[in-house]
Amino acid sequence: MTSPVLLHHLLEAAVDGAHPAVVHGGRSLSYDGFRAAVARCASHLLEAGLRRGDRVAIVLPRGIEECWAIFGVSRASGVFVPVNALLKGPQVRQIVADCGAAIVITSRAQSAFVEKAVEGLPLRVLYVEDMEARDAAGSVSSEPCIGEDLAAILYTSGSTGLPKGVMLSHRNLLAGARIVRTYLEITPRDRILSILPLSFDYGLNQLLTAIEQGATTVVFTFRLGDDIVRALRDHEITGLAGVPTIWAILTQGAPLLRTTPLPALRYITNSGGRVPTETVRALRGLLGDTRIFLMYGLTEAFRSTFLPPEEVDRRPTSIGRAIPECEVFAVTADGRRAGPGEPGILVHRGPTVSLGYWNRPEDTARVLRPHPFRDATVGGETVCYSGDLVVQDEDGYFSFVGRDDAMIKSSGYRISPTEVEEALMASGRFRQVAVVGLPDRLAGQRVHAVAVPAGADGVDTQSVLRALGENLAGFMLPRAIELVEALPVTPNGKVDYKELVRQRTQDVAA
Amino acid sequence: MLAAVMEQDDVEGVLYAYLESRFPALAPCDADIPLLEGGAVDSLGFLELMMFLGERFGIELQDDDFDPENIGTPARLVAFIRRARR
Repeated sequence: MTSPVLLHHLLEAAVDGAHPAVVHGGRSLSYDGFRAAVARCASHLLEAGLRRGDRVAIVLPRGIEECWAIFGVSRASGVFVPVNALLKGPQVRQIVADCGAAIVITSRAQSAFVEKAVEGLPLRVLYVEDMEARDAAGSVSSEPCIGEDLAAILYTSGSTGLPKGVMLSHRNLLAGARIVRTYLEITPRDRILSILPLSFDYGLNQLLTAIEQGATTVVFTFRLGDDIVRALRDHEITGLAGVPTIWAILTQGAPLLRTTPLPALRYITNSGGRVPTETVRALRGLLGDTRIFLMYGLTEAFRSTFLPPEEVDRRPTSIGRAIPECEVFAVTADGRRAGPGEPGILVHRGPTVSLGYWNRPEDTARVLRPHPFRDATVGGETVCYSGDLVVQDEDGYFSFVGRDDAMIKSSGYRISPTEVEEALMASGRFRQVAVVGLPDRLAGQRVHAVAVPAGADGVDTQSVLRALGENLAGFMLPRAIELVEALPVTPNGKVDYKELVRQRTQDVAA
Repeated sequence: MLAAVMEQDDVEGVLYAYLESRFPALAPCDADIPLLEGGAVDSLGFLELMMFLGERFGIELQDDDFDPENIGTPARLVAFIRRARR
C-alpha cells in the first residue's frame, strides 16, 4: 500500500476484514462492515449533491454511526464537523450556521431536535438509517482531494465569544494519528475504550490511531465510575484516554476499581488539563503495571506534548516534551526564547499545526504566526502560539503554569466566559455579569457567575440557571450565580477578572 | 451554609437543598425525579453527590451501594441514607 494521504486511506491498510473495528453496547462492526458503511455513506452524500470541500455537520449520539460517518464524509471529499451530543439546540445551530454546512447527518431518533435547531438554514438533513438501508454502495465518484485540503473543522472555545472552528487538513489528522500511535505503541491487538466525544481533538485522535492500526474501538457512555471499571474488565480494554475529571471519578467514585484486576489495561492517557499529583499517585497504586501517559494538546495544534510513563513518578505535574515529529518551545512576553525556569507561552511547530479558525482571519493571526526566530526568507514557517503559559525545567520537560487570558477549563472543556455571560444577560435579570473559573478539586475549574441584579427586587438565581440549561450544555452552566452590588474594575474601566478570582480564592484559603 | 443549620435528622431537607443548589435543573426537587436518566446529573455530579453523602452524613459507599435501586431517585437516596446511618 502507498502511504496514506487522505483520512479515509487509513481504511486501506491490510487488516483482517473480520476483525472488529468498532463495538458499542451489544453491537459490533468488523473492518469489512465498517468499510462498507463508509462507502454507503459516501455514496449517499454524493447523491445528495455534496461537492469537494462542502462542510457536513455530524449530529449524532455516541455510537458506531458517528465513527463511520466521519470517514464517509472524507471519502466523499467533504469536510466533517462533529458536533458534541451534549450541546443544546441554539449551540448546534451556531456551529452548523458558522461553518456553512451543506448537509447535516443525524439519526431518526434525533430528527425533531435537529430539524428545529437548523430550521431555515440552507442545507439538507440526511439520516444514517437511510445510509444503512442502501444496497451495496454504487460507484463513488467525487472530485478527489489532496492532503492539504480541509478534512475536519473542530469547534472549540477561547477566552471570548462563541465557539470557533479549528480547520484541520487531511495531513494534520494523519500526522496526529501516526505520531500518537507511535509513542503509545498501538497494534491491531489493542482494544481502546472511547468515552470522549469525537468533537474533541483528543477523542477524535484516539479513534484515528485505532483505525490506522486496525485495532478495536469500544464506544462507551458511562454515568458512574464503576461503569467504566466494568467496561474495562468486560471488554478487556488495553487503552483508555480520559480527562482529569475521569481520573477523579475512577480514584474517588469507583469502589469496584479497588477489587478489580485489569491485567489487559496496557496504558491510560490524560489530556485536557493537569491531573492533581495525589490522583496520579492513586492511579499508580490502583492500576499496577498500567503505563500512565500525561499528554497536552490544543485543538489549534491537534496534539503537542507527552510525558513518558517512566518519568511520571519523578515529574507528576509535567506535560512532558514535544511529541514525535514536532518541536515545542516557550517564548517570553518580550519575544525571547525562555530559559529553564522562566515562564513563557508554549509555541508548537510541526505537521499537526492547524490551518487556523474557519472564517476568522483576525483570530487566526493571533494564534498562527511566523516562526519567531527564523525568518520566512530562510525557511521559517507558520507556528502555533498556544496561549498557555508554561515553564521548562533543566532537563527540558515542560509544566503548565496558567493561561494569560480568561478562558475557563472545566472537566476538560474549554469554556468562553463571554458566551456564558451573554446567555445570562439575555435573561434580562442582570445589569452586569462576569463569569470566572474558580479552582475545583474535581473539575479543575468550576464555572462561577458574579452578577449585578437589574432591579431592586432581587433575582431567583435558581430559576435563571434552570432556564439557562435549556440553551447551554450542562458543562457550561455556572455552579452558582453570586449577586453583588458592583463588579471590581481595572484602572481603565474594564471588569477586573483577576480580582474577582483572587477575592474568591482567598475566601477559601482563609 | 443551609445544610449546617438543619436538624441532623432532616435527611430529606438537607439532601433536597443540596440537589437543588448543585443541580438547578432538578429544582423544585421531586421525590421521584430520575437522577440517572435525563442528564440533569452528569458523571462528575454523581461523584460530587457521593462525596457530599460522605461529608454530610458520614456514609462510606461500598461497591454494592452504587445501584440504581439506591441512588435512582431522591426518594431512594433518602431511604438509602437512613438505612446506611442506622
